[in-house]
Amino acid sequence: MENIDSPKLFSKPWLMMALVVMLFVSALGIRMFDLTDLPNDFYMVRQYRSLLIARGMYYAHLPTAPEWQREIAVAQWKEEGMIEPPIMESLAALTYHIIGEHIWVGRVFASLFWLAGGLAIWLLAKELSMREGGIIALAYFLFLPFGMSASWAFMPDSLMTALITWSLWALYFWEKRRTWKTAILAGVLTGLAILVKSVAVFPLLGAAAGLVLSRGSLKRILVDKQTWVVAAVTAIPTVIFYYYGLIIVGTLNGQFALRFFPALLKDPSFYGRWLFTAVGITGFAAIFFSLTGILLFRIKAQRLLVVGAWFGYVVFGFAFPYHFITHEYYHLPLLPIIAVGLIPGADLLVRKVAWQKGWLPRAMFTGLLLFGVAMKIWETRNYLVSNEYRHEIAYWQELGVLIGPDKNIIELSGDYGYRLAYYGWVSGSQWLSNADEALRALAGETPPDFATTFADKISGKDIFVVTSPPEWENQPELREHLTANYPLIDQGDGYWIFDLQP
Amino acid sequence: MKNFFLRYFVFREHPWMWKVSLILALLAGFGLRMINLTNPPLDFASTRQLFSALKARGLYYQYVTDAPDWKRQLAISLGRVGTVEPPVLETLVSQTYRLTGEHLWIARVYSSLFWVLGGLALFLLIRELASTSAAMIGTLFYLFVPFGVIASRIFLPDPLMVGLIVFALWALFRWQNTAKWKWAILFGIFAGAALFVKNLSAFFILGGFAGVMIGARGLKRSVRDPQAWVMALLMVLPVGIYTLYGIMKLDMSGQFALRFFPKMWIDPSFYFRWAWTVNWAIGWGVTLLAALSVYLADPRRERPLLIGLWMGYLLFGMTFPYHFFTHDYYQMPFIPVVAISMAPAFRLFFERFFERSPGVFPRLVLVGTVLVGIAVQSWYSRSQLVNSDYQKEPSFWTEIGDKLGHGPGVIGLTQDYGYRLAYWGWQSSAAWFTSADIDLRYLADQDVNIIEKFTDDTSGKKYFLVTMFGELDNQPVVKDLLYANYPIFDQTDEYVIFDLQHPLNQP
Repeated sequence: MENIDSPKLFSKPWLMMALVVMLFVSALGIRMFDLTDLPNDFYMVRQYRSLLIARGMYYAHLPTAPEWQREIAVAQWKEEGMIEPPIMESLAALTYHIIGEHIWVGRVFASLFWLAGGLAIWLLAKELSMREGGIIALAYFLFLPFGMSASWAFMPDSLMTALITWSLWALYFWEKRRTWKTAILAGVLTGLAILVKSVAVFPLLGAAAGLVLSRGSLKRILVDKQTWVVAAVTAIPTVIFYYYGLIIVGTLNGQFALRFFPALLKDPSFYGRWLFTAVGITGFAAIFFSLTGILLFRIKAQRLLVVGAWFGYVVFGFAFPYHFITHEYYHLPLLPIIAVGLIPGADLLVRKVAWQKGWLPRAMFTGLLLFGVAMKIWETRNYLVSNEYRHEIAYWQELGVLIGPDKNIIELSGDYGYRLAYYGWVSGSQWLSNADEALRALAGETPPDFATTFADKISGKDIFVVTSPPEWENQPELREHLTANYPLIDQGDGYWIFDLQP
Repeated sequence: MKNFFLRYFVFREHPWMWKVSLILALLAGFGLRMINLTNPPLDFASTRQLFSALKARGLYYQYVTDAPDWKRQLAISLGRVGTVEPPVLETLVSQTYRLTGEHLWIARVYSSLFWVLGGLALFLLIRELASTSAAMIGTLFYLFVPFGVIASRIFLPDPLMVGLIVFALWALFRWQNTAKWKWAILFGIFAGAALFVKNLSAFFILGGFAGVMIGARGLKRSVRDPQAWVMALLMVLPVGIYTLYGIMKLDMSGQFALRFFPKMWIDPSFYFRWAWTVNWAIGWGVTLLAALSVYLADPRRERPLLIGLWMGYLLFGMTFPYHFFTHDYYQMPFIPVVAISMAPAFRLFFERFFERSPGVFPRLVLVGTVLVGIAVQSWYSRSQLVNSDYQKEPSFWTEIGDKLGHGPGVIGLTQDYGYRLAYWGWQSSAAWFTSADIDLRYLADQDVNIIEKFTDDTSGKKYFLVTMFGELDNQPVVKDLLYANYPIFDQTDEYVIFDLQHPLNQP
């Protein structure tokens, strides 16, 4: 059903397709720019974790690799606790087998997934009979600066966000058609999204609940077999994964530690920080227009789908308050929600513009949209050009050689030792950073005194490696203790190595 | 209960609710601008604000009888910083000083008041152009957009100019719709006042005027209309007289130098930087909405004014390409243009909203969303106002002024071309070029011989003061000249004073 009250933006359908294709090509182009730079610009700890896992998987089946390298790569992979199923990492590892190990492979996959998410936004707009509005929502989703940075990060989040958009599309698709095929499709996509990263459950459960509640009668909802099937298909992959992770191998236990901080909910500043973080990364105007746009949806199912997703996002924030104000990427599920909320208002606007006589208004709209997109691309390009990390490889490699792969080390670093592990092939245990200590204090943990902790941590270690000057500066007790009691083996640009052996 | 809410608390059916809301919004907008009122005016366009502060103090000290004579003479002399526009705000502030004593924040109160009063005219204009609901949203945008909050409390003629532009546009639109002499004369007065206060308002006033005359009424009809001629005459008369007087008597011809850089037009980065500036100051989303919204306006009644304003803004940017990036406050008049332009889109939104959401709940949701939006913007502005703290600046400059002795013969590489030193240190000084000044001259194809200029500028001077060490590092030739040839008279971590009277290599 096409929107009945206004004309289309372009009289010729190929023009609209050309515009959409142009947006996708531009989106891919900017994501491939500076492709071979290191992934240090966006939550590098999380990205290097994925890189280590992918490399471990790759080396496990790489007969040509030296034995010591294979052992270290696999050990580094196994040391990483399981948080989510390593889908992105497996894909990257498989690709390494075809083209060799390249740091940018994960980035290409993440970017492609994000673009696929954009396609779902576009299809959802079509499904809502608001294709004209979909153009703006799509441009927002593909070219929001924060979204761009997040979308090429080698993390599960890009795939999760894409699957959230596909699930929203599939849920609405099912609601409109109410066939068994569409019900199973909705269940599979929603289940996949939650499997990729479990936090997707919040917006999707909210959206699904909103959609189902829009039907009105609770009795009708409860006796609806399709609804139960959707719920079951959604739950199955995640239930199996958690059963495997918690009961069979037990590697998932650790992921629930230091996550829940209900005390923060009583702190008014938490809500301010939440609001400012969300506004800062998504844009005030976008949030405002998206929220008010909800009021313009024509039917209850459309409104409640988005309201439910918003509700789920809010519950997500309450469940992970600490991460919501410290990890910007926790807000990624908000991006597709905002994009979908933009559709009705944008559709109304664009159709009214298209309603004007002559080609000028349409050309102006297209020109302004493309100029806005070009501006965001230029901004991102400048950011990428001005942030260059390639020189770091040699630094970490040299440090790795200096330490040696056979040493048992403890490290004070700003990145949990990931760069040293990845480029230098040296892993070790970690001395807590200031931020980690603060997190534990927030969780009510009382650390033992310094001497006990130090003795405990260095037990069996050969050397203490410091690779973070700010942490070194901010931990005077450790600095003084190491300097006074242990010989400094080596010191260079940003690192200190102490011999812990008597 | 539902009917009670609908009848008494949900705007549309009750005009008094709009009035109450508008008054509350204007008061809240004014209150927000009073945060950290006594902070020295260095958070935004500090050079220009201190220029006005010095001028106002100079005017004030002409009437002060209980100050030491040297101070009075110095204040008057430092107040002669040049003439850019008629010192309307400075005069107003200086006259207020006579009642209250000298307080820099008085200018902040006036500027904020002028901006907020402009909000009243904006509401009336958008209401006439689109609808009451759209007018409320447009006015809230104008009052609470963070850049506007920060920029509208400055000691510059711009907030007054913007306020007068909005009043003039309101009168113009009323005249377009009524053709009454009252509105013609009111437009002439407001537009004339805006142009008199700052002639850069011409781009918006003339843009809107041309839009209405050509697009809404037709050129032929307008040319034959005596009201149009009276409007034009009232508009240009004050600024015309002042400009002629200024060029002949006040040596104002200098203000036209280093302003026009047409070669920037062919540089694509100019347009990206322009767009980036708009994005930073106003927001790309709302600007895009405003631009598209022009096409939703009635082609005969509403669109001419809007197109005229946009053309005026574009022409403004093309005329001053360099200043558009380096002087944030050049974007201030664009705020009401965006607010007015968004009105047709918001009218459309509200029509559809009231059609699809007849109940009380959606209205309360909408009101709640708008209130949260205002709160977020206000809190953001407040954070910026509170975080930029310059309370220590006056004592720092007072100390340097005392060291230098308040006499002539000082040249400096100091903040704001020496205006901070002049205002708080009571010390006049010649300003040595910053690297930006040198770049500007290169951009204007001027040749700058640094050694020659140093010799000329320091000739007859006693001291060279440096408080901008980064700038000194950017000018290695000057740094070498100073450190190699002159003894240090005094220094701390924050400043160094070179003694120019006793060069090191003097025989």
